[in-house]
Amino acid sequence: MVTVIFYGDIKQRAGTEKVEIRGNRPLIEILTEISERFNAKDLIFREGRVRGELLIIVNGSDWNSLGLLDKPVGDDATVKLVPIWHGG
Amino acid sequence: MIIFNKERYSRQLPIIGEEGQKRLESARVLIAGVGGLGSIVSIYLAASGIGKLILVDPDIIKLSDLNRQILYTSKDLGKKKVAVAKERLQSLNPEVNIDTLDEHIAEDNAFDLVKSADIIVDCLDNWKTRFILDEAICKSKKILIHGGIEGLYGQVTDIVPHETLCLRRLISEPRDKEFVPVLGTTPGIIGLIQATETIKLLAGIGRPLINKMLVYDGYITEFNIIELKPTQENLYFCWGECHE
Repeated sequence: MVTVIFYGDIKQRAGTEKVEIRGNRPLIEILTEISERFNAKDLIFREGRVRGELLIIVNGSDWNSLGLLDKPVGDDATVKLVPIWHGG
Repeated sequence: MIIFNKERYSRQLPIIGEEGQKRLESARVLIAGVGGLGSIVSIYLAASGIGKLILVDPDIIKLSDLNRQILYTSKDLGKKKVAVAKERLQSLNPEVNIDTLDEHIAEDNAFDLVKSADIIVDCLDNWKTRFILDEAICKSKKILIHGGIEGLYGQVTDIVPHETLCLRRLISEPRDKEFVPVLGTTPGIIGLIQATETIKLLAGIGRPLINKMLVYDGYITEFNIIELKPTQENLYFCWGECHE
C-alpha cells in the first residue's frame, strides 16, 4: 500500500495525518481518489489540473514540478502532499 | 580591519565565535520585502551585527499592515516602509550599514541587486517577483533563503547553487491570491527561522535547511521537515544551463 501523508490545509480537511491507499497505479489516480474521499478537490485541483503550489513529494522528489503525474507509484512508496504559501 | 563591539554581541559570541561575528560584519544581506517577514528578518539581522543590509520594498505603510509588520507604528501610516525601517534598524544597531530602494524588484534591476549581496532573504508576497529574483539568483549563483506564509501556515527552505533546486523548479506553477489572510504571529515565526538560517549560513554553524523544507502548521502547533532529493540532472537544469 502507498502511504499518503497530509500537511497544512489538506491535513485539516482530511482530519487525519495519513492514509494507506492502493498503489501500483498513476499518481493522478491516487490524487483523484484522495480528493474525492476527503472532499478536497479544491485543495488539490484547480481548473482541472493539479494546483501548482502543491508539492507532491514521492521518495524525495516533487512529482508535480517534474510533470510525473501519470507515472505509476510503487506499492511501497510514501507520498507527501505539501501545500506551499506565498504571502510575506 | 573589522572591529566589532564585544559587549553588544557578548551573548552570541560564545555561539558563533569571533570568526563567526567577523563573517556577519563583513556580510551583505539583501532583504527583498520589508513587510511581515521582512520586519522580523531585518530586526534580528540588524541586531546580530550584519555589516550591510539592503532593504527593497516599494510600498507605503497601511493600517492593515500593523497586525504583523512590527517595524512600524500607527504614527508611520503613509510613510515609505524602507525609510521608516532604516530609521528603526539604525536606532537598534548604529553599527549596521543600511541601503534602501523603494522600488519593485523587476527584470531590469534584479541582477544588480542580487549581485550586490552575499545572501538574499525572500520576504516577498508574490510568486511573480519571486521568480524574477530566482532568475537573478541562478545567474549570479547566490544563496536565497525562501519563506512564505498564509493563515497559520508557512514554509522555509534554503536555495543553494548546485546543491538544491532553484525556486522555479521546486514550485512549479503557483498562482497568487489577491488577498492573503494571515495571523500576525505567522510571519514572526517564519521570519525568525529565515533570520536564523541566514546567520547560520554566514557564520558557518549548525545544519541549514539545504534540501529540507521546514513546514509550519500553527493550527496544531507542528513543525515538519520535508526531505528533498534533487537529481543531478535537475540540479544541472537549474544551475547549469537553463538560466545562462
